[in-house]
Amino acid sequence: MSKTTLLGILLAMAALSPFVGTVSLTLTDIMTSGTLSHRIFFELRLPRLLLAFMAGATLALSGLLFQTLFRNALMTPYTLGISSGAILGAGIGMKLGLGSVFLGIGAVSLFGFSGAVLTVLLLLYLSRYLQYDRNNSLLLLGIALSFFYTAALMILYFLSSAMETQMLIRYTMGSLATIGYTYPLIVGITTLLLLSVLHVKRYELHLFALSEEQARLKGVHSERLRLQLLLVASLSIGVLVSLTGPIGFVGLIVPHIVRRLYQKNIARLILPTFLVGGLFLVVCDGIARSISIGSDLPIGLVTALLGGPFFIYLILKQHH
Amino acid sequence: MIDASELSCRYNERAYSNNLSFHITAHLNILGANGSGKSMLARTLCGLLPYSGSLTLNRQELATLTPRTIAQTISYIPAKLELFDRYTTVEEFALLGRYPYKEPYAAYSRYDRDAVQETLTALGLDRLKKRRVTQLSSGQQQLLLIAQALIQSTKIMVFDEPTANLDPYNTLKFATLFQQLQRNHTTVLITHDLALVQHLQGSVLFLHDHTATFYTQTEEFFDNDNLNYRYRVAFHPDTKALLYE
Repeated sequence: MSKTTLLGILLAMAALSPFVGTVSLTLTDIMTSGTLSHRIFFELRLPRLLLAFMAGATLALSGLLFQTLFRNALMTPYTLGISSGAILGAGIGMKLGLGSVFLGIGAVSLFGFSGAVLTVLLLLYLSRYLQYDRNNSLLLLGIALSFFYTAALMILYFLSSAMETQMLIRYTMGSLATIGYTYPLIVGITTLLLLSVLHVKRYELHLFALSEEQARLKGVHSERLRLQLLLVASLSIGVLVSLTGPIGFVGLIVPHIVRRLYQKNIARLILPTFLVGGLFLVVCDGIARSISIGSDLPIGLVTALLGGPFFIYLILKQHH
Repeated sequence: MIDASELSCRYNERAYSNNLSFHITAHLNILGANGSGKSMLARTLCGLLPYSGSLTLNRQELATLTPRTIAQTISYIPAKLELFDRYTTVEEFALLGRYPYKEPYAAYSRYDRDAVQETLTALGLDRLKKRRVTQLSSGQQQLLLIAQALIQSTKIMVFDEPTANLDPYNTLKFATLFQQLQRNHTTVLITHDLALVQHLQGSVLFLHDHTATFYTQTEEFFDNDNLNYRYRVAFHPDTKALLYE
């Protein structure tokens, strides 16, 4: 499949996405202001489309960044324990029974965000004590933290009522449901920040793809740069996970799909990854809403169900 | 150009070289057994590893220089090309050599691209420039690494076991190219290849037991008694071929 075909299909499906769902909308409906269709489109569907696009773009870009920095094709934005930290934070928020809303963001999300940020700070603090083979050690630290958080979360489940547990499980499945433009705006800002930082640092990233040592030999302040990039990506992921819960698979597969389709070096993959990641999640969300009328099928299931087979197809095709 | 006095290198809590003193103005060949710290010394010279004692580059202490300044003065050619990004082309790989001169936030300039074109043509890599780096043979990859270092246009070039992955034909080709490079560059060569060093100019630093012996001329090192003592090999008196004990 050529990249133009794929982008065309994704664009067309993404454009259709806000019209499908529990209530099907038509173009004429939404143009008349004051109607229910108009309100559904502009207060629910359009914000949701924007949120899905930004979320997909953030996940894909962070995946690309983490895979390059850690030189590991299996890295995802979640491997460092940032999302587990967010889930644990959100879980604690729910357990405390916090229902209040601050600046349009629920207290549970704020707790999730704190969990993610604290995890990043903890990782950075611990990484100061790593002297050799920093990348692998940081990866191991992140994995160890994830296990720790998961165990702590299990204790929360254990102590919670059935309803609280149900809420927590739904949060861990991820959701793009949103009303109005607060969430898309917040995620949009961090996504665009991540995109611009990666774009500006694209040549340094290309050198990192050789090795951190090579980057230094060519004059890159590798320590400083790695810290900057990790901070920006972790911030974006932390914000995203706290608002939508973890959405799996996009961060792992989109960078690979883009790499195989474009066959370009990393410096030239940043914009394509942003676009394909965003469109991919918009399409997945449209499908999630159209196959489960009446309820909201967790988006993470759809990304895995659609992305998995396509990923396998791409790998097999390359070996022929 | 490079001056070391009482230089000690440490890495992973292991001392590699202790109290080395030497200075490099023309060419230095570093020899020594496996694990004697040759590579560590080379990487220290390039500013990659911490050290104690004094190590100066053009009379400036290396530790006080920025990575960019060092990159404009020293280039390092590793034994092997390693790349996480499979889709980098020969041309793009070579262009990375211009990074130390690129303005921050700017793209590579016309001049940078011309420099790449010129060097690739000179080394006969021009016809491969659109190929992916991963599609090249070991010999071609090594040539590309040299091209990148030349494009970096530094006075000093450090080669880390350049012939370790090459067949005899490519080793010979490398030796010829290396001698050409020596005319315009200060070279530091790390190698196990005695036959290669034997034909090269420069001094020899032999690392053993974390210290070093310095020979101002290669001939001194290749004195039969010394060679036998150091490596347990000797030259055949008539054929001049290397013989093992």
